[in-house]
Amino acid sequence: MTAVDDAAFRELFDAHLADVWRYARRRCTTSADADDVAGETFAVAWRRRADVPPDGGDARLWLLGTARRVLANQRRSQGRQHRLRTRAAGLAAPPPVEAGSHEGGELWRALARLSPEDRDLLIMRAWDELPVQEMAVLLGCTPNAVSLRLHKARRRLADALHRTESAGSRTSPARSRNAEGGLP
Amino acid sequence: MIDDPMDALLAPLDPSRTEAPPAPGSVRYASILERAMSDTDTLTPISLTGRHGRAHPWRRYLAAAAALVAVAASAALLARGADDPDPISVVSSAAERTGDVTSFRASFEEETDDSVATGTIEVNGRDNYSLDVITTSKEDGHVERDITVVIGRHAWQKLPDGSTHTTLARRGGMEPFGSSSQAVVAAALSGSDVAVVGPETVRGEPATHFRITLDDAARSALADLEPNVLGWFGLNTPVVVNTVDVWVGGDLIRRIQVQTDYSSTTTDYYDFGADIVIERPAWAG
Repeated sequence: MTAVDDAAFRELFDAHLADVWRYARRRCTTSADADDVAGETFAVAWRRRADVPPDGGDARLWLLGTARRVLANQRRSQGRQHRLRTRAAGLAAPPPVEAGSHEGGELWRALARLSPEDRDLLIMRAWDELPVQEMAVLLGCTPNAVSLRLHKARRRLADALHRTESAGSRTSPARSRNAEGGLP
Repeated sequence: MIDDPMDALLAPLDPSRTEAPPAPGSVRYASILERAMSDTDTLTPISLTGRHGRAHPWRRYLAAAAALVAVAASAALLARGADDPDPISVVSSAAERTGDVTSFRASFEEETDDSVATGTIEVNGRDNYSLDVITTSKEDGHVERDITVVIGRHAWQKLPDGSTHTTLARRGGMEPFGSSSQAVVAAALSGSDVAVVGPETVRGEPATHFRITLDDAARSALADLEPNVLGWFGLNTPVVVNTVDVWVGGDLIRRIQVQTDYSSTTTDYYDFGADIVIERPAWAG
Protein backbone atom coordinates (compact mmCIF):
# COMPACT_ATOMS: atom_id res chain seq x y z
CA MET A 1 0.00 0.00 0.00
CA THR A 2 1.39 3.41 -0.90
CA ALA A 3 0.49 6.82 0.43
CA VAL A 4 -0.86 7.71 -2.99
CA ASP A 5 -3.15 4.69 -2.94
CA ASP A 6 -4.30 5.58 0.52
CA ALA A 7 -5.01 9.24 -0.21
CA ALA A 8 -6.69 8.51 -3.53
CA PHE A 9 -8.91 5.92 -1.94
CA ARG A 10 -9.94 8.26 0.85
CA GLU A 11 -10.87 10.84 -1.78
CA LEU A 12 -12.95 8.26 -3.58
CA PHE A 13 -14.60 7.29 -0.32
CA ASP A 14 -15.35 10.89 0.66
CA ALA A 15 -16.77 11.66 -2.75
CA HIS A 16 -19.05 8.65 -3.10
CA LEU A 17 -19.93 7.12 0.26
CA ALA A 18 -23.21 9.04 0.46
CA ASP A 19 -24.32 7.90 -3.00
CA VAL A 20 -23.34 4.30 -2.38
CA TRP A 21 -25.01 4.30 1.03
CA ARG A 22 -28.25 5.74 -0.36
CA TYR A 23 -28.20 3.20 -3.19
CA ALA A 24 -27.83 0.43 -0.58
CA ARG A 25 -30.36 1.90 1.85
CA ARG A 26 -33.03 1.92 -0.83
CA ARG A 27 -32.58 -1.82 -1.18
CA CYS A 28 -32.00 -2.84 2.47
CA THR A 29 -34.24 -3.17 5.47
CA THR A 30 -32.25 -1.02 7.90
CA SER A 31 -29.57 1.67 8.00
CA ALA A 32 -27.23 -0.84 9.61
CA ASP A 33 -27.69 -3.17 6.63
CA ALA A 34 -26.89 -0.26 4.32
CA ASP A 35 -23.73 0.42 6.34
CA ASP A 36 -22.71 -3.20 5.79
CA VAL A 37 -23.36 -3.08 2.04
CA ALA A 38 -21.50 0.22 1.71
CA GLY A 39 -18.62 -1.22 3.73
CA GLU A 40 -18.41 -4.33 1.56
CA THR A 41 -18.67 -2.24 -1.61
CA PHE A 42 -15.73 -0.08 -0.60
CA ALA A 43 -13.82 -3.15 0.58
CA VAL A 44 -14.14 -4.52 -2.95
CA ALA A 45 -13.05 -1.14 -4.31
CA TRP A 46 -10.04 -1.19 -2.00
CA ARG A 47 -9.03 -4.69 -3.08
CA ARG A 48 -9.49 -3.79 -6.72
CA ARG A 49 -8.41 -0.17 -6.55
CA ALA A 50 -6.31 -0.61 -9.67
CA ASP A 51 -9.52 -1.32 -11.59
CA VAL A 52 -11.57 1.61 -10.32
CA PRO A 53 -11.93 4.16 -13.12
CA PRO A 54 -10.66 7.69 -12.53
CA ASP A 55 -13.00 9.78 -10.45
CA GLY A 56 -16.05 11.31 -12.01
CA GLY A 57 -19.15 9.61 -13.32
CA ASP A 58 -17.31 6.39 -14.17
CA ALA A 59 -16.07 5.84 -10.61
CA ARG A 60 -19.53 6.43 -9.20
CA LEU A 61 -21.09 4.00 -11.65
CA TRP A 62 -18.36 1.45 -10.95
CA LEU A 63 -19.15 1.66 -7.23
CA LEU A 64 -22.91 1.43 -7.77
CA GLY A 65 -22.35 -1.60 -9.99
CA THR A 66 -20.28 -3.18 -7.23
CA ALA A 67 -22.94 -2.38 -4.63
CA ARG A 68 -25.47 -4.00 -6.92
CA ARG A 69 -23.49 -7.25 -6.93
CA VAL A 70 -22.90 -7.13 -3.17
CA LEU A 71 -26.66 -6.79 -2.68
CA ALA A 72 -27.34 -9.65 -5.11
CA ASN A 73 -24.98 -11.93 -3.17
CA GLN A 74 -26.65 -11.01 0.10
CA ARG A 75 -30.09 -11.56 -1.38
CA ARG A 76 -29.18 -15.05 -2.53
CA SER A 77 -27.83 -15.97 0.88
CA GLN A 78 -30.74 -14.41 2.76
CA GLY A 79 -33.17 -15.94 0.29
CA ARG A 80 -31.98 -19.39 1.24
CA GLN A 81 -32.38 -18.66 4.95
CA HIS A 82 -35.77 -17.09 4.34
CA ARG A 83 -37.02 -20.03 2.31
CA LEU A 84 -35.93 -22.59 4.87
CA ARG A 85 -37.27 -20.65 7.83
CA THR A 86 -40.55 -20.06 6.06
CA ARG A 87 -40.90 -23.70 5.24
CA ALA A 88 -39.77 -24.88 8.64
CA ALA A 89 -41.93 -22.67 10.79
CA GLY A 90 -44.91 -22.37 8.53
CA LEU A 91 -44.39 -18.66 8.44
CA ALA A 92 -44.22 -16.10 5.75
CA ALA A 93 -42.18 -13.00 6.37
CA PRO A 94 -43.05 -10.03 4.19
CA PRO A 95 -40.92 -9.47 1.11
CA PRO A 96 -37.82 -7.35 1.83
CA VAL A 97 -39.20 -4.46 -0.14
CA GLU A 98 -42.00 -4.06 2.41
CA ALA A 99 -39.73 -3.93 5.39
CA GLY A 100 -39.69 -0.73 7.33
CA SER A 101 -42.51 0.81 5.42
CA HIS A 102 -45.45 2.28 7.24
CA GLU A 103 -46.89 4.50 4.56
CA GLY A 104 -48.02 3.82 1.03
CA GLY A 105 -48.99 0.30 2.04
CA GLU A 106 -50.77 -0.58 -1.20
CA LEU A 107 -47.92 0.78 -3.28
CA TRP A 108 -45.41 -1.24 -1.25
CA ARG A 109 -47.51 -4.36 -1.71
CA ALA A 110 -47.77 -3.68 -5.43
CA LEU A 111 -43.99 -3.28 -5.59
CA ALA A 112 -43.58 -6.56 -3.73
CA ARG A 113 -45.57 -8.33 -6.43
CA LEU A 114 -43.11 -7.31 -9.12
CA SER A 115 -40.03 -9.23 -10.14
CA PRO A 116 -36.76 -8.12 -8.53
CA GLU A 117 -35.67 -6.91 -11.97
CA ASP A 118 -38.74 -4.70 -12.40
CA ARG A 119 -38.40 -3.34 -8.87
CA ASP A 120 -34.76 -2.54 -9.41
CA LEU A 121 -35.50 -0.66 -12.62
CA LEU A 122 -38.23 1.41 -10.99
CA ILE A 123 -36.10 2.18 -7.96
CA MET A 124 -33.12 3.14 -10.09
CA ARG A 125 -35.26 5.66 -11.90
CA ALA A 126 -37.57 6.97 -9.17
CA TRP A 127 -35.24 6.91 -6.17
CA ASP A 128 -31.69 6.87 -7.51
CA GLU A 129 -32.81 9.22 -10.30
CA LEU A 130 -30.31 7.61 -12.64
CA PRO A 131 -30.54 8.64 -16.29
CA VAL A 132 -31.42 5.86 -18.70
CA GLN A 133 -27.87 5.92 -20.09
CA GLU A 134 -26.37 5.21 -16.67
CA MET A 135 -28.96 2.52 -15.97
CA ALA A 136 -27.91 0.90 -19.24
CA VAL A 137 -24.28 0.84 -18.10
CA LEU A 138 -25.22 -0.72 -14.76
CA LEU A 139 -27.50 -3.29 -16.33
CA GLY A 140 -25.22 -4.11 -19.25
CA CYS A 141 -27.72 -3.37 -21.98
CA THR A 142 -28.59 -0.60 -24.40
CA PRO A 143 -30.45 2.57 -23.38
CA ASN A 144 -33.27 1.56 -25.72
CA ALA A 145 -33.61 -1.76 -23.93
CA VAL A 146 -33.71 0.05 -20.57
CA SER A 147 -36.43 2.40 -21.81
CA LEU A 148 -38.49 -0.51 -23.04
CA ARG A 149 -38.05 -2.51 -19.84
CA LEU A 150 -38.80 0.56 -17.75
CA HIS A 151 -41.99 1.14 -19.68
CA LYS A 152 -43.07 -2.45 -19.10
CA ALA A 153 -42.12 -2.31 -15.41
CA ARG A 154 -44.20 0.83 -14.91
CA ARG A 155 -47.14 -0.83 -16.63
CA ARG A 156 -46.76 -3.95 -14.47
CA LEU A 157 -46.58 -1.77 -11.35
CA ALA A 158 -49.79 -0.02 -12.40
CA ASP A 159 -51.46 -3.41 -12.95
CA ALA A 160 -50.18 -4.73 -9.62
CA LEU A 161 -51.37 -1.58 -7.87
CA HIS A 162 -54.81 -1.95 -9.41
CA ARG A 163 -54.97 -5.60 -8.34
CA THR A 164 -53.69 -4.81 -4.85
CA GLU A 165 -56.33 -2.14 -4.42
CA SER A 166 -59.01 -4.56 -5.64
CA ALA A 167 -57.75 -7.28 -3.29
CA GLY A 168 -57.70 -4.79 -0.43
CA SER A 169 -61.34 -3.99 -0.98
CA ARG A 170 -62.16 -7.74 -0.89
CA THR A 171 -60.06 -8.36 2.26
CA SER A 172 -59.30 -12.04 1.84
CA PRO A 173 -59.56 -13.81 5.22
CA ALA A 174 -56.48 -15.89 4.44
CA ARG A 175 -54.51 -12.80 3.55
CA SER A 176 -55.61 -11.18 6.80
CA ARG A 177 -54.45 -14.18 8.78
CA ASN A 178 -51.06 -14.05 7.13
CA ALA A 179 -50.71 -10.39 7.93
CA GLU A 180 -51.11 -10.98 11.63
CA GLY A 181 -47.47 -11.55 12.33
CA GLY A 182 -45.27 -14.49 13.15
CA LEU A 183 -45.05 -16.89 15.99
CA PRO A 184 -46.39 -15.42 19.20
CA MET B 1 -35.24 14.09 -12.66
CA ILE B 2 -38.68 12.59 -12.08
CA ASP B 3 -40.58 12.77 -15.35
CA ASP B 4 -43.11 9.98 -15.12
CA PRO B 5 -46.27 9.85 -12.98
CA MET B 6 -45.37 6.38 -11.67
CA ASP B 7 -41.91 7.60 -10.66
CA ALA B 8 -43.53 10.56 -8.90
CA LEU B 9 -45.80 8.16 -7.05
CA LEU B 10 -42.83 6.09 -5.91
CA ALA B 11 -40.50 8.93 -5.02
CA PRO B 12 -41.97 9.74 -1.58
CA LEU B 13 -41.41 6.15 -0.46
CA ASP B 14 -37.64 6.44 -0.84
CA PRO B 15 -36.33 5.37 2.61
CA SER B 16 -33.17 7.43 2.20
CA ARG B 17 -35.28 10.60 2.29
CA THR B 18 -35.73 10.22 6.01
CA GLU B 19 -32.37 8.74 6.92
CA ALA B 20 -29.05 10.39 6.28
CA PRO B 21 -25.89 8.55 5.22
CA PRO B 22 -23.06 8.36 7.74
CA ALA B 23 -21.70 11.86 8.23
CA PRO B 24 -17.99 12.57 7.66
CA GLY B 25 -16.22 12.44 11.01
CA SER B 26 -18.86 10.21 12.60
CA VAL B 27 -18.08 6.81 14.12
CA ARG B 28 -20.12 5.05 11.43
CA TYR B 29 -18.25 6.87 8.67
CA ALA B 30 -14.87 5.98 10.14
CA SER B 31 -15.95 2.42 10.77
CA ILE B 32 -16.97 1.82 7.14
CA LEU B 33 -13.74 3.36 5.87
CA GLU B 34 -11.60 1.35 8.28
CA ARG B 35 -13.36 -1.88 7.37
CA ALA B 36 -12.82 -1.23 3.67
CA MET B 37 -9.15 -0.37 3.92
CA SER B 38 -8.30 -3.19 6.31
CA ASP B 39 -9.54 -5.75 3.80
CA THR B 40 -6.46 -7.45 2.40
CA ASP B 41 -8.07 -10.26 0.43
CA THR B 42 -7.03 -10.38 -3.18
CA LEU B 43 -9.43 -10.69 -6.02
CA THR B 44 -8.81 -11.62 -9.60
CA PRO B 45 -9.63 -8.50 -11.56
CA ILE B 46 -12.80 -8.93 -13.57
CA SER B 47 -14.45 -6.50 -15.89
CA LEU B 48 -17.87 -5.22 -14.95
CA THR B 49 -20.51 -6.57 -17.26
CA GLY B 50 -22.15 -3.21 -17.58
CA ARG B 51 -19.08 -1.21 -18.43
CA HIS B 52 -18.87 -2.58 -21.91
CA GLY B 53 -22.58 -2.72 -22.52
CA ARG B 54 -22.60 -6.40 -23.50
CA ALA B 55 -22.95 -9.71 -21.77
CA HIS B 56 -20.07 -12.01 -20.85
CA PRO B 57 -19.49 -14.88 -23.31
CA TRP B 58 -20.74 -17.47 -20.81
CA ARG B 59 -24.13 -15.79 -20.88
CA ARG B 60 -24.27 -16.39 -24.61
CA TYR B 61 -23.29 -20.05 -24.11
CA LEU B 62 -26.01 -20.42 -21.51
CA ALA B 63 -28.53 -18.77 -23.79
CA ALA B 64 -27.54 -21.16 -26.58
CA ALA B 65 -27.87 -24.14 -24.25
CA ALA B 66 -31.26 -22.92 -23.08
CA ALA B 67 -32.37 -22.56 -26.68
CA LEU B 68 -31.31 -26.16 -27.38
CA VAL B 69 -33.31 -27.38 -24.38
CA ALA B 70 -36.33 -25.44 -25.60
CA VAL B 71 -36.00 -26.93 -29.08
CA ALA B 72 -35.69 -30.43 -27.60
CA ALA B 73 -38.74 -29.90 -25.44
CA SER B 74 -40.71 -28.59 -28.41
CA ALA B 75 -39.66 -31.61 -30.47
CA ALA B 76 -40.87 -33.92 -27.71
CA LEU B 77 -44.18 -32.09 -27.69
CA LEU B 78 -44.55 -32.40 -31.46
CA ALA B 79 -43.72 -36.11 -31.26
CA ARG B 80 -46.79 -36.72 -29.13
CA GLY B 81 -49.34 -38.80 -30.99
CA ALA B 82 -52.78 -37.50 -31.83
CA ASP B 83 -54.42 -40.01 -29.47
CA ASP B 84 -52.20 -39.24 -26.50
CA PRO B 85 -53.92 -37.42 -23.65
CA ASP B 86 -53.46 -33.68 -23.38
CA PRO B 87 -50.45 -33.00 -21.07
CA ILE B 88 -52.32 -30.26 -19.23
CA SER B 89 -55.18 -32.67 -18.47
CA VAL B 90 -52.78 -35.34 -17.26
CA VAL B 91 -50.88 -32.98 -14.96
CA SER B 92 -54.05 -31.29 -13.69
CA SER B 93 -55.70 -34.59 -12.91
CA ALA B 94 -52.62 -35.85 -11.05
CA ALA B 95 -52.39 -32.58 -9.11
CA GLU B 96 -56.03 -32.90 -8.05
CA ARG B 97 -55.61 -36.50 -6.95
CA THR B 98 -52.43 -35.67 -5.06
CA GLY B 99 -54.29 -32.86 -3.33
CA ASP B 100 -56.79 -35.38 -2.03
CA VAL B 101 -54.15 -37.59 -0.41
CA THR B 102 -53.97 -36.93 3.31
CA SER B 103 -50.88 -38.87 4.28
CA PHE B 104 -47.60 -39.31 2.46
CA ARG B 105 -43.90 -38.71 2.69
CA ALA B 106 -41.75 -36.44 0.59
CA SER B 107 -38.08 -35.77 0.24
CA PHE B 108 -36.61 -32.68 -1.29
CA GLU B 109 -33.32 -31.20 -2.40
CA GLU B 110 -32.85 -27.49 -2.86
CA GLU B 111 -29.70 -26.21 -4.52
CA THR B 112 -28.69 -22.58 -4.62
CA ASP B 113 -25.45 -20.87 -5.57
CA ASP B 114 -24.10 -21.25 -2.06
CA SER B 115 -25.74 -24.30 -0.51
CA VAL B 116 -27.54 -27.60 -0.90
CA ALA B 117 -30.42 -28.41 1.41
CA THR B 118 -31.94 -31.86 1.66
CA GLY B 119 -34.94 -32.74 3.72
CA THR B 120 -37.76 -35.12 4.45
CA ILE B 121 -41.36 -34.26 5.05
CA GLU B 122 -44.00 -36.48 6.65
CA VAL B 123 -47.61 -35.46 6.47
CA ASN B 124 -50.70 -36.88 8.09
CA GLY B 125 -53.78 -34.75 7.87
CA ARG B 126 -54.23 -31.06 7.42
CA ASP B 127 -52.18 -29.71 10.29
CA ASN B 128 -49.82 -32.51 11.24
CA TYR B 129 -46.43 -32.65 9.63
CA SER B 130 -42.75 -32.95 10.36
CA LEU B 131 -39.87 -31.48 8.46
CA ASP B 132 -36.19 -32.30 8.80
CA VAL B 133 -33.78 -30.16 6.77
CA ILE B 134 -30.01 -30.49 6.47
CA THR B 135 -28.24 -27.61 4.76
CA THR B 136 -24.65 -27.85 3.57
CA SER B 137 -22.68 -24.78 2.60
CA LYS B 138 -20.88 -25.12 -0.73
CA GLU B 139 -18.30 -22.62 0.39
CA ASP B 140 -16.98 -24.26 3.55
CA GLY B 141 -18.92 -27.51 3.94
CA HIS B 142 -20.64 -26.25 7.08
CA VAL B 143 -23.70 -28.36 7.89
CA GLU B 144 -26.83 -27.13 9.64
CA ARG B 145 -29.88 -29.12 10.69
CA ASP B 146 -33.32 -27.69 11.29
CA ILE B 147 -36.20 -29.86 12.54
CA THR B 148 -39.82 -28.80 12.83
CA VAL B 149 -42.80 -30.81 14.04
CA VAL B 150 -46.29 -29.36 13.85
CA ILE B 151 -49.31 -31.03 15.42
CA GLY B 152 -52.40 -28.90 15.15
CA ARG B 153 -51.54 -25.50 16.54
CA HIS B 154 -48.47 -26.70 18.41
CA ALA B 155 -45.07 -26.37 16.78
CA TRP B 156 -41.70 -27.58 18.00
CA GLN B 157 -38.50 -26.43 16.42
CA LYS B 158 -34.91 -27.52 16.83
CA LEU B 159 -32.64 -24.94 15.27
CA PRO B 160 -29.11 -25.39 13.89
CA ASP B 161 -27.59 -24.02 17.09
CA GLY B 162 -29.18 -26.90 19.01
CA SER B 163 -31.74 -24.72 20.74
CA THR B 164 -35.31 -26.00 20.90
CA HIS B 165 -38.47 -23.94 20.84
CA THR B 166 -42.04 -24.79 21.64
CA THR B 167 -44.60 -22.45 20.30
CA LEU B 168 -48.01 -22.07 18.80
CA ALA B 169 -48.08 -22.32 15.03
CA ARG B 170 -49.36 -19.25 13.38
CA ARG B 171 -53.07 -19.13 12.78
CA GLY B 172 -53.67 -20.21 9.26
CA GLY B 173 -50.17 -21.85 9.37
CA MET B 174 -49.10 -23.82 6.37
CA GLU B 175 -51.69 -25.10 4.00
CA PRO B 176 -51.66 -28.89 3.64
CA PHE B 177 -48.75 -30.02 1.51
CA GLY B 178 -50.89 -32.06 -0.87
CA SER B 179 -53.36 -29.32 -1.68
CA SER B 180 -50.48 -26.82 -1.85
CA SER B 181 -48.88 -28.98 -4.51
CA GLN B 182 -52.17 -29.03 -6.38
CA ALA B 183 -52.51 -25.25 -6.17
CA VAL B 184 -48.95 -24.59 -7.30
CA VAL B 185 -49.21 -26.92 -10.28
CA ALA B 186 -52.61 -25.49 -11.24
CA ALA B 187 -51.23 -21.94 -11.10
CA ALA B 188 -48.14 -22.93 -13.08
CA LEU B 189 -50.37 -24.44 -15.75
CA SER B 190 -52.39 -21.28 -16.31
CA GLY B 191 -51.45 -20.05 -19.72
CA SER B 192 -48.12 -21.87 -19.79
CA ASP B 193 -46.66 -24.28 -22.31
CA VAL B 194 -46.53 -27.89 -21.20
CA ALA B 195 -44.20 -30.27 -22.95
CA VAL B 196 -43.86 -34.03 -22.56
CA VAL B 197 -40.21 -34.71 -21.86
CA GLY B 198 -40.68 -38.49 -21.78
CA PRO B 199 -41.02 -41.61 -19.64
CA GLU B 200 -38.74 -41.86 -16.61
CA THR B 201 -38.57 -43.60 -13.24
CA VAL B 202 -39.04 -41.89 -9.87
CA ARG B 203 -38.10 -43.95 -6.81
CA GLY B 204 -38.66 -47.12 -8.82
CA GLU B 205 -42.09 -46.07 -10.10
CA PRO B 206 -42.67 -45.44 -13.81
CA ALA B 207 -43.64 -41.83 -14.46
CA THR B 208 -44.01 -39.38 -17.29
CA HIS B 209 -41.96 -36.24 -17.12
CA PHE B 210 -43.68 -32.96 -18.10
CA ARG B 211 -42.07 -29.55 -18.33
CA ILE B 212 -44.10 -26.40 -17.69
CA THR B 213 -42.40 -23.29 -18.98
CA LEU B 214 -43.93 -20.36 -17.18
CA ASP B 215 -45.12 -17.18 -18.80
CA ASP B 216 -46.08 -13.94 -17.07
CA ALA B 217 -49.68 -15.10 -16.59
CA ALA B 218 -48.54 -18.22 -14.78
CA ARG B 219 -46.08 -16.27 -12.62
CA SER B 220 -48.86 -13.86 -11.77
CA ALA B 221 -51.14 -16.79 -10.85
CA LEU B 222 -48.40 -18.14 -8.61
CA ALA B 223 -47.95 -14.74 -7.01
CA ASP B 224 -51.64 -14.77 -6.15
CA LEU B 225 -51.21 -17.88 -4.00
CA GLU B 226 -50.75 -17.40 -0.30
CA PRO B 227 -47.23 -17.61 1.19
CA ASN B 228 -48.33 -20.58 3.31
CA VAL B 229 -48.89 -22.49 0.05
CA LEU B 230 -45.79 -21.28 -1.77
CA GLY B 231 -43.49 -21.70 1.23
CA TRP B 232 -43.42 -25.47 0.81
CA PHE B 233 -41.59 -25.02 -2.47
CA GLY B 234 -39.39 -22.10 -1.54
CA LEU B 235 -41.51 -20.01 -3.87
CA ASN B 236 -41.62 -16.81 -1.89
CA THR B 237 -40.74 -14.90 -5.01
CA PRO B 238 -42.76 -16.62 -7.73
CA VAL B 239 -41.72 -14.07 -10.31
CA VAL B 240 -38.28 -15.64 -10.54
CA VAL B 241 -39.63 -19.10 -11.43
CA ASN B 242 -38.64 -20.22 -14.90
CA THR B 243 -39.86 -23.80 -15.19
CA VAL B 244 -41.84 -26.29 -13.15
CA ASP B 245 -41.18 -29.92 -14.07
CA VAL B 246 -43.74 -32.48 -12.95
CA TRP B 247 -43.44 -36.27 -13.01
CA VAL B 248 -46.79 -38.08 -13.04
CA GLY B 249 -47.23 -41.79 -12.32
CA GLY B 250 -50.38 -43.70 -11.43
CA ASP B 251 -52.35 -40.46 -11.76
CA LEU B 252 -50.40 -38.96 -8.85
CA ILE B 253 -47.60 -36.43 -8.77
CA ARG B 254 -44.39 -38.27 -8.03
CA ARG B 255 -41.93 -35.41 -8.34
CA ILE B 256 -41.98 -31.62 -8.74
CA GLN B 257 -38.89 -29.67 -9.73
CA VAL B 258 -38.96 -25.87 -9.55
CA GLN B 259 -36.23 -23.89 -11.31
CA THR B 260 -35.84 -20.24 -10.36
CA ASP B 261 -33.21 -17.65 -11.14
CA TYR B 262 -31.51 -18.53 -7.87
CA SER B 263 -32.35 -22.12 -7.03
CA SER B 264 -33.54 -25.53 -8.07
CA THR B 265 -35.84 -27.48 -5.76
CA THR B 266 -36.76 -31.12 -6.42
CA THR B 267 -39.44 -32.76 -4.28
CA ASP B 268 -40.25 -36.48 -4.50
CA TYR B 269 -43.57 -37.76 -3.15
CA TYR B 270 -44.01 -41.33 -1.95
CA ASP B 271 -45.77 -43.57 0.59
CA PHE B 272 -49.13 -42.16 -0.43
CA GLY B 273 -51.82 -43.19 2.07
CA ALA B 274 -49.26 -44.74 4.43
CA ASP B 275 -49.98 -44.98 8.14
CA ILE B 276 -47.89 -42.04 9.27
CA VAL B 277 -47.84 -40.91 12.87
CA ILE B 278 -46.62 -37.41 13.72
CA GLU B 279 -45.55 -37.32 17.34
CA ARG B 280 -44.36 -34.68 19.71
CA PRO B 281 -40.56 -34.95 19.49
CA ALA B 282 -38.62 -36.36 22.42
CA TRP B 283 -36.41 -33.25 22.52
CA ALA B 284 -39.46 -31.05 22.95
CA GLY B 285 -39.16 -31.43 26.71
